[in-house]
Amino acid sequence: MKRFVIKLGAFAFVNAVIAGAVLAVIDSRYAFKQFETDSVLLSMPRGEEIGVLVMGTSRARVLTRVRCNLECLEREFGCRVFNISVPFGGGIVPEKIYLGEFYGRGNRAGTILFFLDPFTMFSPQPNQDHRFVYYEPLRPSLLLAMARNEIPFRRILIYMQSKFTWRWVSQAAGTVPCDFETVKDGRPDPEKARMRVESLYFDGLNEGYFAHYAQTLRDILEMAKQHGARVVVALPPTLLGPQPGADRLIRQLDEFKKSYALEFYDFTGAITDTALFSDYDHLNSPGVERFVKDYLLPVLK
Amino acid sequence: MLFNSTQFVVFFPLVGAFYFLLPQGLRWVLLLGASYFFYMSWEPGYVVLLAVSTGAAYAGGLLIGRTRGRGRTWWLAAGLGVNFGLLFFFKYYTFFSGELRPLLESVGIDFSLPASRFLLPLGISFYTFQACSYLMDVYRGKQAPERHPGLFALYVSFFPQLVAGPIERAGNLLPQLRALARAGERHRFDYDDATNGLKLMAWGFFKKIVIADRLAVVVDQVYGQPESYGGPALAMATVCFAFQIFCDFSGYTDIAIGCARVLGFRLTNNFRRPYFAASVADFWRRWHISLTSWFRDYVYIPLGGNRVNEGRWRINIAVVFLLSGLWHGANWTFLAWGAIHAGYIVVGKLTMPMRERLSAALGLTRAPRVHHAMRMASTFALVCFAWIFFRAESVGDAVGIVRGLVSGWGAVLEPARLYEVVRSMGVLPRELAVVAGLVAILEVAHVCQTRGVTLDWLSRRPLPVRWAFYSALIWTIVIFGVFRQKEFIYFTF
Repeated sequence: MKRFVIKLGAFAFVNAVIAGAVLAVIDSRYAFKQFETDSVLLSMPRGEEIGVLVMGTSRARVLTRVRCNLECLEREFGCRVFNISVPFGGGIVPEKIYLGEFYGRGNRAGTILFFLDPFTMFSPQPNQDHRFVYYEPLRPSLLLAMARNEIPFRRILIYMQSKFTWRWVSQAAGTVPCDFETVKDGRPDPEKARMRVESLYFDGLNEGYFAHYAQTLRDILEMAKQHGARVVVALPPTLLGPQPGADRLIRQLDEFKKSYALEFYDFTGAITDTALFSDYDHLNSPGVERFVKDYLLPVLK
Repeated sequence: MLFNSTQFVVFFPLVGAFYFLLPQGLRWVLLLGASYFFYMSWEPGYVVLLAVSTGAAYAGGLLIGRTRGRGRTWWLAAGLGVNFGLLFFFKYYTFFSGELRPLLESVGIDFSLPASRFLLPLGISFYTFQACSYLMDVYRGKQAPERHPGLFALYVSFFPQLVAGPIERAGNLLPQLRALARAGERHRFDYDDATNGLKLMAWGFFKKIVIADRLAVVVDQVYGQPESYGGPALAMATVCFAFQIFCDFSGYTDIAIGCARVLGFRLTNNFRRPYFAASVADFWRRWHISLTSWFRDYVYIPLGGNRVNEGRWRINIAVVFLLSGLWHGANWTFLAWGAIHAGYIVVGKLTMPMRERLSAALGLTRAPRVHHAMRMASTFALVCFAWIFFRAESVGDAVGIVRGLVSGWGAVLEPARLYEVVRSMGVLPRELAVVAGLVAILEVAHVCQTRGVTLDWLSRRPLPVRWAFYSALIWTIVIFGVFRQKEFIYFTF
């Protein structure tokens, strides 16, 4: 049995070395700007002073995933902007992990602008069960953070495996210069809007999950407090109307205000012009410009 | 618990490590506990069915052994009744009650049986058949009744083969389990068994995760809405299904046999390169061997086998294949699949002299390799045709697919249209090419096996060659594998 264990260990070691070498070669080729990739870590700086750190779901991701949107933000805010929002319906747990990585790399942020979608507080689907890590390179710190944040073992394995796929090896910068897509017909279809909202709430308004993710939110606020960041929490603009669970979230934020110096703004119905949305809940480039100038700038100045 | 799940990645090494660390006398306890845990991880409550099946077979075996005369037959009937009763109620009740109602309505009787709210228990067709084979072997005097209830429970529930076979005969597995509990007989860790078992498991994972689950994308897409596709797509999807089901099921079997071998047990081989068969009868000697031999020994031969007149033989064949179809599932599609195979066997025998004369007239007898290759190709085509009924959602869908097979072949001549056909099947042409390449690797491996290039042959190569091969296999699984934990097809049977 001893011979078997030694040989198995040696075989595993040899293959781990091969894997490490392959990954090192692949990773050395990747250094993207944040408008070129869905990955957060591949564009995350090291030891830098960031003026505004944006957090949230894909509704916040569009602020920097499109090149002219990022340029608009940095021009208007007059500072460096970095975005750790998670695309494809990512939630609060991925945000906590990314914020940890952000600070772990020695970065600092003056203001954290957190676009908090209520649906992220009511289900593991946008949180532990989200596929955010598939866009990220293999990093021991990320593996550790995943284990600490109860990301399922299966997902961790798939994350590791995904770094050796052709899709990962062949990825290239994908820049969207500007987004001028608009909502068709000029007005939202109530039925489609209802279906879209339903699709976001995988487990309804589950109070148990809310309590769990409220604790995650507290952890994020605590981390921001320890690093001296100003925290602005906002509900992002949408054509979907009032979001289920928003009242519950606002009550929770009021509770947090007792312990943390956070500011809260509800922009849910701030923009209703369909010409400013690429779909029911994502602003297009003119929409981002309007939102930044009319709503964010007054708040951040 | 699926073999391709993360739970199993933890479960098996733990069981393996504790198994060899424990004193030999306690190992069967660990294996029994692990087997029941393995089964309960799916639906804890259904472990009762496993226990009832085991209990009935255990008690039935003891009572058959103790009784003389007609009483033996009654005890056999009771044991089989409990096991087949469980199988019927949990697997076929809904089907039969659903079919009974319109039948009764057609003769003016308004009656319906209450609906069943039970799920199909995992592996019930496998473990009840295993328990029944034991009872019949004891009844025939081929097997001594097992007195140790723990070892017998382990025989029925041994986790590597519990949910999808091979359906083990007591004559093979029970003596190996008894050796565990026997004083003086050492059951040590064997380096060759452990390494060969792991190699077999890796090969099984390759077949399941890399080939079967990749092919599933195409098959599910096309068979999900067959009316949207023409002949080329339907034909491609059917061939893909032929390899999907082979890689899925034989992949499972390889993992099962590999697991058992790591622990020092030898399970029955279930597949012998079935798509190399030169006739449908030959195919059945190579496909799901443990089930085919079960039906041969406990149904076909008791019915008289081929030592009866021609008419009776045809009935025997029909009975065996219809039962085999029904074993796979409570659906008319499986019955149709069984009937088609019965038809192949009967018509194959009827036309044999004519086909031999035709071969001689065409000069094929002078080119035996060409003749053999043609027979293999035609057998594969016949088997694929039957798979249409096996895979389709309903007999209506299957008939629609058969009709659709003759349409749209013009696309094959135009690369642009052919590209669109492939894209409509849910894959990129290059992905399909990768799968075709992987299937080619599989078949090359099969050819190598026929020429004696096996695991033992590999084990005799220098270490760098071996490790390069194992690493290549593992990295192929990592790079090309589909890690969605798709269930094994035979789990649903």
